[in-house]
Amino acid sequence: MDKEELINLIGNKESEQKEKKVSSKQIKIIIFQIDDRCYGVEASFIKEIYTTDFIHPLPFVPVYIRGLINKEGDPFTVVDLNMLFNQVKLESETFLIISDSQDYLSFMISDVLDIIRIEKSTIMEILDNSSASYFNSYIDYHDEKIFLLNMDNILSKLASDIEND
Amino acid sequence: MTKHPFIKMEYENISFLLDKDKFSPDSGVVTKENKHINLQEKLNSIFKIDNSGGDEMYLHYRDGLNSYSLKISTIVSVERVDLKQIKPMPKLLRESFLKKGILGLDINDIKHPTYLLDIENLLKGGE
Repeated sequence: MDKEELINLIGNKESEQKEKKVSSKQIKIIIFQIDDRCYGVEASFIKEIYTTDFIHPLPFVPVYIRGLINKEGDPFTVVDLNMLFNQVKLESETFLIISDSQDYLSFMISDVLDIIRIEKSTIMEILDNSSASYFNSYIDYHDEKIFLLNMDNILSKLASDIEND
Repeated sequence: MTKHPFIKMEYENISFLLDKDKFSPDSGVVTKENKHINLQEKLNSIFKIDNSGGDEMYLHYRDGLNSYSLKISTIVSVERVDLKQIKPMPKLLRESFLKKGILGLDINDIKHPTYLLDIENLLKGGE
């Protein structure tokens, strides 16, 4: 599946609403890669996939905030998820633009692998879900366990680190 | 298009904009009665720039009873900048940057960052 196709899939809200009527028990998940690891995120958190080759560096921010990208004239904060999760700097030109009408935020990732629709009941919650955890659940995808981002905790962590930096 | 005049300082490959309307036209002359603010040192501190070299130039600023002479550095020009080009920082970073005296950013030329400085904030506590 190429990027255009993926963008159409996650951007097509009309068809999403239509399909929601068919089954509200289903959920759309974006499977993406960071370095050699795969993760997932609910598609409703993501507005689009964006590519650019330049990140504008910023002073006095946590090390995992790599700077800003210029998306059609607006500055978007870039969070390097690999640095946040594994303390290893990621080199990539692909970003998930977070769906947030109040802020401009993006996650740097290696690539988007797939967008899948699954039954909500197949999502396994992580029982030991502390407030510090970046993941709150997982799914099985091609015999691999894919951890899903806990967006609330990640956004809280960002806000807290920036305030204290 | 709404353009506004800004004083542009270029320092260590970072550009800073100051609202020209806030400064006296006699900038460039040091007046002894003025409080002296080394803006260059403040920027060194904020941006962690390790450089105290460069030419000396002074901007005069008045806020009612007080007047200040601000030592600034290197190249200075006055440019009319389209206000639409200057964006506030994304919400996540906004408050933190406001505290440091940065009101916004011109990302039109993303390879050459340009920060809009909040002069009142930078003068806080300055003597």
